Amino acid sequence: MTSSRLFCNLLRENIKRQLWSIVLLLLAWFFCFPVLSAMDMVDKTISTLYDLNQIYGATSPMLTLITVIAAIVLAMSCFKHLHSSRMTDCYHALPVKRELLFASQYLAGVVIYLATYLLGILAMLLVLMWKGILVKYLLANVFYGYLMFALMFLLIYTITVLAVELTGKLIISVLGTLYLNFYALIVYGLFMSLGELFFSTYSSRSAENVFHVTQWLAPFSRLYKNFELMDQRPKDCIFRMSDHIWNDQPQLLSRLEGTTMVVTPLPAGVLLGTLAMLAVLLVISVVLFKKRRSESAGSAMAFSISRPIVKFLTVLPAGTGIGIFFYMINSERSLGWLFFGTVCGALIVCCAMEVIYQADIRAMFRKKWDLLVGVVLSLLLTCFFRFDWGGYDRYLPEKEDLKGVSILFSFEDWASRWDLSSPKLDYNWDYQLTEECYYDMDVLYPLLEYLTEHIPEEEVAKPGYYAVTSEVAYGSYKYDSVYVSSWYTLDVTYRLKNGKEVHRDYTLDLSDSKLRELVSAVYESEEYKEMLYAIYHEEVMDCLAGLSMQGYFDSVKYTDTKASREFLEIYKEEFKGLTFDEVLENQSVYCIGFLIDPDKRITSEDDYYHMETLEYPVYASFTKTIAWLEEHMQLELEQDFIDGIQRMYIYDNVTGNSYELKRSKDAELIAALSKYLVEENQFMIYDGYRYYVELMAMQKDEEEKWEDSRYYYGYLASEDAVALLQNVEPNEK
Amino acid sequence: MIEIEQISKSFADIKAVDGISAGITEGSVYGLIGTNGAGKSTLMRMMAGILKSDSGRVLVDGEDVFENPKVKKEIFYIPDDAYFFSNATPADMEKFYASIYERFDRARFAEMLGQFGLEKKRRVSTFSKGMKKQLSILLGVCAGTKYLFCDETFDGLDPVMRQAVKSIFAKEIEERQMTPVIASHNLRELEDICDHVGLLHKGGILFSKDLDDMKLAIHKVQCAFEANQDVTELLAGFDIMKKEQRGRLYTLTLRGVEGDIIAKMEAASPIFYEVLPLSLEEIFISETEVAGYDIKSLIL
Repeated sequence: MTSSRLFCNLLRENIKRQLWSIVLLLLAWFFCFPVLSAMDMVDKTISTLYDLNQIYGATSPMLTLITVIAAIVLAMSCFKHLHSSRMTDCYHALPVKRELLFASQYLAGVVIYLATYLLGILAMLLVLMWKGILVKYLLANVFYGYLMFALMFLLIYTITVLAVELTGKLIISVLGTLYLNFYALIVYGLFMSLGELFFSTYSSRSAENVFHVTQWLAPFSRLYKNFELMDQRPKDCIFRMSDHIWNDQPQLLSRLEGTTMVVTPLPAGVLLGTLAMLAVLLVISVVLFKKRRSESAGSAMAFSISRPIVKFLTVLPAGTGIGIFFYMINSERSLGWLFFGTVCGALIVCCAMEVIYQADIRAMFRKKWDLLVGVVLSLLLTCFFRFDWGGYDRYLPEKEDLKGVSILFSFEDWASRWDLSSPKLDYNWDYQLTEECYYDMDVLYPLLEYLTEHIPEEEVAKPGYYAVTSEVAYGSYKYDSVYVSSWYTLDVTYRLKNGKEVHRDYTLDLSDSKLRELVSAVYESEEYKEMLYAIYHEEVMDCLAGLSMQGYFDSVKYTDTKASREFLEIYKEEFKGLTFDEVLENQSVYCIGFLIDPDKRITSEDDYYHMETLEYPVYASFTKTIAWLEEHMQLELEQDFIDGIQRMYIYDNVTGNSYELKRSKDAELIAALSKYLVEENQFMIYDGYRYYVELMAMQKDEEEKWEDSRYYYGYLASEDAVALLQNVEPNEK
Repeated sequence: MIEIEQISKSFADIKAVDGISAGITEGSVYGLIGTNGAGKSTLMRMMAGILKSDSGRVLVDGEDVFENPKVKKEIFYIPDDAYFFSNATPADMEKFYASIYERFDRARFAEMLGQFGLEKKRRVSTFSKGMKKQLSILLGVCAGTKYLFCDETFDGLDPVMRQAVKSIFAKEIEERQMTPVIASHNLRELEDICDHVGLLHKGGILFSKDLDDMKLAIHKVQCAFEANQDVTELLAGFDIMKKEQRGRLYTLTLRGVEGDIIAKMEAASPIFYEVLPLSLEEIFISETEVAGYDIKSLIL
């Protein structure tokens, strides 16, 4: 008998053995495809088409669930003979090469999944065609989904087969499947926790680097990442069109062709990587199937060599993980509890593993050396992180090894808080640390050196409040010291000449005058400002369309582009001279918004239309800027707004008193206080003014009628308010 | 021809088979006997290419059997507790094996199923233990392989079926030189079918011999001598394997050709003597006792 004929015979017989799996899958697809699509088909509109594309597309949660379950069940079922010595003997006695046996069993599961899935799709399309839905607009998503879910199935199926091959009992195989899928992620999570707990300069971006590796180590994390990549509508997706287009069906249908994808197709590199991962898993599976001894059926672990490996790979993170659990739940956070937890965890897990291996509770202490080694290694791992034996916190590359350094001060996070969708201008939270780079090491390196040499003690490095000894403006009052609401940090990405990137997050204790001096030097350098702020980036400011004045309850817009550019030049010059001390110690006087016109960067006229605003502070030292603003923009509150204030709630940060003023009896006082109102904006120092204010105000509509009331939040920015409130009876505390 | 060369196999710390060597010639019935745990099944699984030996090798027709489909095509292994697919009928099992063994005789299978009274469309799971044994034997015989390995196959068969199976084996041996290898812990089961036997004990083989040779070479003689005769002197010329005495009645197990023994007995002039038939069991007891083993405790 030729091997191909033998293979076909075996495949056919193996598929026949999976009858119940076939029936269950057919049932699942039947309800999932023809039945659900018929139920979901509310009408023949585009929204139905969109819903169907979503439900049966490549990121469908329902199809994901069915695929994952099908992959695990089919793998367990097709290779179940590996759990029973009777069945193993039956198969291994056959005159068939193990590779051929593997292929026939492996493909049986794959064929069942793919064939039944395809049947489900065809049945659904028939139902939809019968109901008059334009199925051709579904095909791209449905069949792309078919391919992507086939890939997902293969990955989960293969890793489950691998788990079955490595083990000899059903329950252990299930645990093995979870282990192979989640081990890397769990260890990743543990290392993140250890880093956060014990390293003062730990950066979560270091963990991201680890995740870049772990996502290729386990199918689950790979699939999660693939989902993340696909789970966004492509730019040319018809379903991104604005509402009026959606409702204009003839126009919409005419444009549907080729633009119906509701997901972003997986990048070719990622797809190839995923296929390579599948190929590696498959090769390992074949080798293990060939190497696996028949007598392994029924024993916990099929390969004796894997026993100690799996045991110690489990015991180490488990011991350390339980150690930090004890450490964290204990308020003292003492080393004693850390080590107690580590020892207990390592011992318990080591014993449990041996019990599982030998299926005998009395075997728990049988391997005493393993217990000892497990405990010692777990303790060493814990100590490695706790005492930073690897020198994580002390890391500082040589100056000459550095190509540049990306930096992000926590008080500067606003500078990247804008969301331009164009890929070219896609500034986001991490932009400063991924795209921007500071090169003047003569200015920056001393700061980094100082930070590395002065790592704060563990407790100081924890989140909390940090004292700023300098005087901070507090409305009309000044205090020697106030607590700021968040600690200051400096996030750093060292970019080395060898291409390596190393991340660290330093805590800045600005009560240290030397440190403050070093930070000021960086902040006040020309390179820093030109690097960080979008106003110095020509490709952004080319899109400048106007200005908006924030902080006056109803933002004022100014759309003279030419004049706005003139203002920009004035502002840029003054902003460059802004000192670090001024930022820390003074309230911004105004908040100015630079309006960026999306039309200049997004070609699709139907795309979401929204103007971006880049907000910047204006300080008292910006005299030319303020003069320009006073000349060109309305900076005082309009009388209509003041007349609309119905209620004013005031809280005194100094005395703790609160006042509630109502228009009906305090109209004059409200009008007087309104002169000092400033709206809350992001550049204000938290609680930087004495009086916090909440307003309920009514506004006039276009027909000069009072419309619904709205709430505003702000401060009273003058010491005159003290005198005005002197005779007002405060609320009861 | 099956050649087993210094084969060993351990499971964890337990040595199941320890340095066994044996040869099985074609067209004969080889019996593997031994107590539970003697290593019969392990040896047979290695011979069937299921288990890989730790050391040594099994050659079937000159080729290593493990992972060798060409050789395994000539082998059908019937385990003690054969596996049948869930909800399978004899017809399903027939289809499965027919798709693997190209010489599977489906007509004969159908015919023999009828002869054994087994229903083709009945689920195997509803069969009794004996019926399952019968089915696996029929599948094995109809697979048309040169070698048929039966592990405790006769255990559970009633005497009638046992005879029927024996006659099928006899026919197959005669017609196509089939070589059954039968493992059993029961000597009496193999006595009338085996040509050659190997005795396994604690993973090792005590001996492997041709049954006819053994039967021809060992004889039991009962004899009685006059009181004044010097029995020791009279029996000095015999190769005595075992001697029992009750009064003046001697029961002797002697090694040698029957004619020579009769001639020597005649010359010794006993009051009477009689050459008795020796059962396989007795032959084994004698042989193994000579080898220093208390076989009664092993196989009886």
